[in-house]
Parts: sequence; C-alpha cells; structure tokens
Amino acid sequence: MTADRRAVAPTAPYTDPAAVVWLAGQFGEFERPSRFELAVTVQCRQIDLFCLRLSESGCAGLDVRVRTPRPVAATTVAHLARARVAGLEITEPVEESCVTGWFETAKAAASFRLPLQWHGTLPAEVRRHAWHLTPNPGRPALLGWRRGPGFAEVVDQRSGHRRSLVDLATVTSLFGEGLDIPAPLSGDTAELFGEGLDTPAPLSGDTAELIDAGLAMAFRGEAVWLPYRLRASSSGAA
Amino acid sequence: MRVTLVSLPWQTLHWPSSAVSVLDTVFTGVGWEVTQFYGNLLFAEQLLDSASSSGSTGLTPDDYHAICDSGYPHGVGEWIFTSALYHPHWRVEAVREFLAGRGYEHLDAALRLHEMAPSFVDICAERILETEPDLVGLTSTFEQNVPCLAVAAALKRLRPGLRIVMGGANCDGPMGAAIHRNFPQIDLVVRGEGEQPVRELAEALTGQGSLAGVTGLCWRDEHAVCRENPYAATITPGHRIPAATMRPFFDAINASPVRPWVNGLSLRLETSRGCWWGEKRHCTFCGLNGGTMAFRSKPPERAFEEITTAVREFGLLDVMLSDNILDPVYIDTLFPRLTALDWDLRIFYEVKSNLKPADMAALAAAGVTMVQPGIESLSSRVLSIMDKGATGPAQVRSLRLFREHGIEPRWNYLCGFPGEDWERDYTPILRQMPALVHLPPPNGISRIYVDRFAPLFEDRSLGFDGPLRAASWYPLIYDLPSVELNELAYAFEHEQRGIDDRGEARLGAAVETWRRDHAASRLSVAAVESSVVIRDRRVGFEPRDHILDGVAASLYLTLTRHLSIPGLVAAADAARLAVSAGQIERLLREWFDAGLVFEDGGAWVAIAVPA
Repeated sequence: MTADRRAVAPTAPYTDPAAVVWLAGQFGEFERPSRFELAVTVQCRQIDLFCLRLSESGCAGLDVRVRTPRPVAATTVAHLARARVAGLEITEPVEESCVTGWFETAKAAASFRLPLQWHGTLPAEVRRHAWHLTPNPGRPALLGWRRGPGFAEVVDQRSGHRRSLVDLATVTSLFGEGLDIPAPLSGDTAELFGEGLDTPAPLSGDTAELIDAGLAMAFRGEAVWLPYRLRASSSGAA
Repeated sequence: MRVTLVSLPWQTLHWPSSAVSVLDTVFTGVGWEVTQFYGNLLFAEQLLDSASSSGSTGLTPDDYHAICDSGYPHGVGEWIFTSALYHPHWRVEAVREFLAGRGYEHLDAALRLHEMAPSFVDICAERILETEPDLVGLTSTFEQNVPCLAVAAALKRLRPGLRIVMGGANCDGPMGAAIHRNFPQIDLVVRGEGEQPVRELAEALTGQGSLAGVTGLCWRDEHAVCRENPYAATITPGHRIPAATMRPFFDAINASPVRPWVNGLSLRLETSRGCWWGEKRHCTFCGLNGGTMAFRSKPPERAFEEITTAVREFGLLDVMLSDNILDPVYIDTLFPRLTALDWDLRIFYEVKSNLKPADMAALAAAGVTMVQPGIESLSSRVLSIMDKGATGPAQVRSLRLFREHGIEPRWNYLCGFPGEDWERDYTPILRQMPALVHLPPPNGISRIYVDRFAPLFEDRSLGFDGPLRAASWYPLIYDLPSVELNELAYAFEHEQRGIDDRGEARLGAAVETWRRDHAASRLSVAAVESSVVIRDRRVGFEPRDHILDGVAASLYLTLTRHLSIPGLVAAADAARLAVSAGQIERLLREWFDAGLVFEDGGAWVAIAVPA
C-alpha cells in the first residue's frame, strides 16, 4: 500500500488545537465555551500576541478572535492574518492619541482582509480621510496601492476611478517599506498641523504633493500614508 | 521596406494585439520598418466623438466593450461591418429577427454601430495610408474577418497597388484559402503560426525569394489566378517564440481620449503555445490550436525576464497570459521567482484542472488570481465523452481547492455532447448542485458548437455524423454560397445532440441559482482535537455544525481526495481503521444526504473547505 493511499489523520492543514489552546493559555485570557465550540477568544497585549506564534501553529480550524487593548503594528496584523485568525478587536476606545496607530492597524487589516472591530471617535479632520477604512454599505470606498518595481500603483475609487503611479523610493523614504509608518513633519509645519489644520500650502516637496493628491493626511505633526496595500492573496509575503 | 500591422475591431481595448506585437518583433528582426496601427482604438475614439457631437449617436466606448464581450456567439461584430463590406442595412431585418430571437441585449447598439461602420472604415484606410506602407498586415481572430475585409477593400479603392496580407487564427487551414479565393482585396494570406512564413514573405517581397516558396501562403500569380502553397503548420520552438513589442499600443492607449473608458489595462504576454494535454488526449470540442497542437514553452528564465521587464517598462501589474495551458515546469521555476519579488501582481493563466494543493499555493503566492481550468462539466460520463481526462469529483475537488487558495476559476458548464443523457448525466448533478453553492460557480452554460479542427469536427464517428453547416450567423453576414461558407467558417452547427432545449433551460436555471446564492454561502471544515467539525452556512441549508468523531473524522478528511468506495476501504485498511465497507457506505450516504460530499460515477469527494 503506498503512502498516498493511506487514510489521513486530522493533521495539517488541520493542526492540533491543543497547541493553540496551550499558547493562548500562556499569554492571555482564553475563552472557549465547549469542546466543539469553534469560536475562541484570546485577549492579550500586543507584545504577547507576537509571542503567541499563531502563524506557526495556525488556528487549528478554530474560529480564533483576538482582542487587544490598543492598535497593533502592521507586522502583528500580518502575523494574525497568516494564521487565519477570524477577527481582531481593539477593546479600548480609539481616540486622538492613537490615530496614527489606528491607521496602521486598519490599513493592515484591510490589506489582509482581516475583520477589524473597534469603537471610539476619530477626530472629524481624520474621519474624512478614513472612509476607505471604515466602509459602510451606503458609501463603498477603495483607496489602495500595489507594490511594483520602483513604483506604487495607487487605485483611488473614492470619487470615480483614478489610477496613478507614485515613485516607490520617495514614499518608502517617508513612510517606511510597508508605507505604514507615520512621517514626521518638521518645524513650523508640524506646529501648524498640530493645531488640526491640514492645509498643504506650508509644506514643500513630496509630502505636500501627496497630501494635495489626497494620498496622505497630516495630523499632529505627522503625515500618514492613506492607501492600504492591495494584496492579491491574504497570505501574501511581506 | 515599411509594413503597417493593423489591429481592428473587435480586438479588446484592454491589452495589445498579440499578433501585431509579436509580428512587429519578427518584421523588425528582418530589417523592416514597422508601424502598429490600432484601428480598434480609433473606432472607440469615433464612438466617443459621436457621443459628444451635435448629431450624437448615443454610443460610447462602453458599447465597444459590450460588443466585444457578447458578440461572438451571434456574429454581431462581423455583421456590424457588413455595411462597409457590402452596403448599409445589409440584411438588417433578418439580422434583427435573428438577434431578437436569441434575446441579444445589445441589438440597438449593434444597429447604430452598423450605420457608423462605413465612415469609420474610410477614415481608418486613410490613416493607414498616412503611414506610407509598402505592405499592410491585417490580423483576424474571432470577429475580425469582416472589419479586415472592409478595410482592405477601402485601402484598395484608395491605392489599388498596395499589397495587403491577412493572417491570424481565422486564416488557419482552409479558412485562409477561402478568404483569399473569395475576396480579391486580400493579396496574400498567411496560414498558421506566422513567424516562419512572415520571414519568408519578407524575403520574397525584397527579391530574395518567391511567393511560391513561402510556407502555406495563398497568393495570386501574374494572371490573378489564386495559388495555394501546400499547407504545413510551422511550429516555432519555445525558445524562439518572439517577445511582444507592446510599446506602440500603450503609447496609443495612454494618449487616447478613450483611456478613461478602459479600466484594467493589462500586459498581454505568452509563455507557451500549443497544449501538452491535447497532445495526449484532445478534448473533443476544442479547435483552438488548429494545426499546431505541439506544446512548446519559453525557458522559465526567459518567461521571468519578459514578465518582469514588461511590468517595469509599462508600470502595469496585471498580466494576461495567452497560453492555452500552463507549463507545469513553471510551478517550481517561474512562480517562486515571481513570489520572491513581493510585487502585487495579478496574473491570469489557463491551467489544467488537476493541480495539486501545493501547486495552487505556488500559483496564489506568485499572484495568479484568475485561471481558466477547463472544468466544463461535473459529470464523469460527459467528461469522458469529451475526453477531458477528468472526472466529476476531480473537478469538484479542483473547485474546492481554488476556493481554499483564493484563486478565481472561470468556467462554463458545457452541454450538447453526442451521447449525453438527461437522466443519467444531468439529473444527479442538478440534484447535488445546491450543495455546491459555496464553491465557485460557472459563469454560465454553453451548448457546444462544432469548431473546425476539433475532434468533433474531424471525426464524425464521435457523434456529429449528419451534415455540418456553418453556424447560423455566417449566411447572414457573407454573400457567399454555402460551399464557400463551409470552407471559411470556424464554428459549425449540427442537428442538436445531447440534452434537449428543456434540459438546457433547467441546467441554466440551476446554474443561475448557484451564481445568485454563492456569495452568501459557506461550508467549512476544521479538525478539533480528534474530531472534525463541519460548519454549514450555505443558502438553502439549515445552519448546522456537523461533528464527526474518530473513524468518521478520518474518513471525511481522507475524502479531500476523490476516491471510490473500494479506494476508501483500502485507505482505511492501510490506516488500520476499524471500519467495514458497509459502514463506509452508510457514512457516505449520510454525508450525501446532508450535502457534505459530492458523488458521481462511483467516486466521492468532500466538499467542505478547510477553515
């Protein structure tokens, strides 16, 4: 009898849920009402989430929802998405002090198609830049980017359909390789934006152009790249 | 010497013409000066002009897209240009009745486009002549015959001495000879793959050879008598398939006012020709490869270079491959390299449906988001009739794996095969279709035509044994006797075979229901410790979690492969599972009743998708 004709035991991609249970128990509050209840909630801090190493164990078929108090880094969202976590929830209210962090989490969640729950109130001047990350049925919006060789293709369907190419080296020098790090604004400009104004006029160079084009937003002395990455696959590399 | 290579309606506006961009490379390679002329784009621009003029036709480039997408099964695009080839209102009442009878939804646009075609053809010919060609090359695939013939006639009216050559898939074999014989405005017809004949033709036209020596060429001698060189399919080896010269198309489309009407602009590349599966077993309905079935592919290194160079040059991440079938070698060579780039590519390939899970993962990681896998049917017997080399459960397994890996398979449910039977081949499938609702549905159903070069055309013993006639739109379009139409045509009709119209309508309705309910349906499977939990959230099924323990859990997971009952018994024995054949049969029946497995022809497969 050849090996490939043998009946398979419940193994990969059906990994052992005991590993998930054990790991979850090590790092956070773990709720699982019954043995056959697929919904599992893991509550822990961001630092513990990374230690959870779910991307290695997978979720073992469990419907794992992760709750964490504050917005998390894009790398953590990627880690959870690759582990096929069913959802991420930010438990503390999102407020002005964590707006840039929220953008990073929300963009990564949209990119990896990881359902994100949160509550709180974004400042009005931020809200109008975040429709694509807070979709509702009455106002579908898409603002995404795709990584190419030396360019980022931006697809903007917030109003009509617009496709543009942006020099990748320029934007990564501002916002990091993943375009998920806020770029500091300097001097007078920072002060000006710190008052909640986002008029691009005082800015010069690339950041101003991006803000003018609606691809970045200034808030409290920092500029945030708005589009989320349009990955062909939710398990994409990087 | 100067050649102008012309792409006419109804070539899509979304990517360059493969024929024009590849033959540009060939002509350039033998020292000719090449102009690519995108008449299809010019036509769309005229629609845009007319939409904004005082005497607006109400037509826009969207109407161009609509005819491109819907016209071929009814010959609509060809008929539109008969007003330029023959005369305005050519058989208009008969065509109106024909299209209305088929429920063709763009009839009104087609009638208005028909009125516009003559003026477009005149302008197109003038613009082509402005390129000062010594030779004009027209390429024809699907619905480009009549536009080519009309533009050629206009060119001859303006410059009778201009030499015009036509080629493309519509000119393969006897079709090319028929075009040449019946339309004197075409001086030369190249048949089959163009690289070798075009090089020979370029030599002949520069005095280094004779037209009589060009492989497969149709030409006229000094007495205007048609000559037909012996037809021999020339096979360009994989490593010698030229790279496409796409710059002229992208320059033209990017400068065109039509550009905002073209979303989803893509690169058009080829990494192989022919079909390795067809070399072994030729699907009976497929006529795509004409006389050149032999499979050849570019070396993986070259395929990688061509894709990445084009992405860099044109700033486009969408790549449409024209290959008839993916070279399996690329799975371990080309795709890992594309994956490592970390570009957000979206690639289309035609593939064989029997990809392994690891193959699918490799494709998905590299950015293959859409495939045409040749599912065709879910009935093992019908698949056998068409010599597809797959079974119904194997095709369902493929659909499940595509769903699992996030790859969109495009497929049509084909019917009308000789020997198929409603009760035996369709009733059991339709009974199970509601259970498949969470898997990727067909785009629709199609009753097959008998295409030239297909085994069903070549071998009457396969069931189409009565008279074959050119498909019903050909006589409405061409002013030719039926004997010539039968030489010129690619698609043929025959007295209906297989299921009747009522069965076809029932199949169509079932597929529409599948399409309607698909997005809201989920059927997932997860292993929880030693058990399997199947979560059923399909439209039409009561929400339910099925829990399988022990032997049942192992058996269900074993059915991720498609197996017969003896195969499943053997697998259970090998795994030392204490279960009898009778118990297995009872479990399968129970799962079948709950819509958790698919069965056809004695083989079974699990349909829940791993969570």
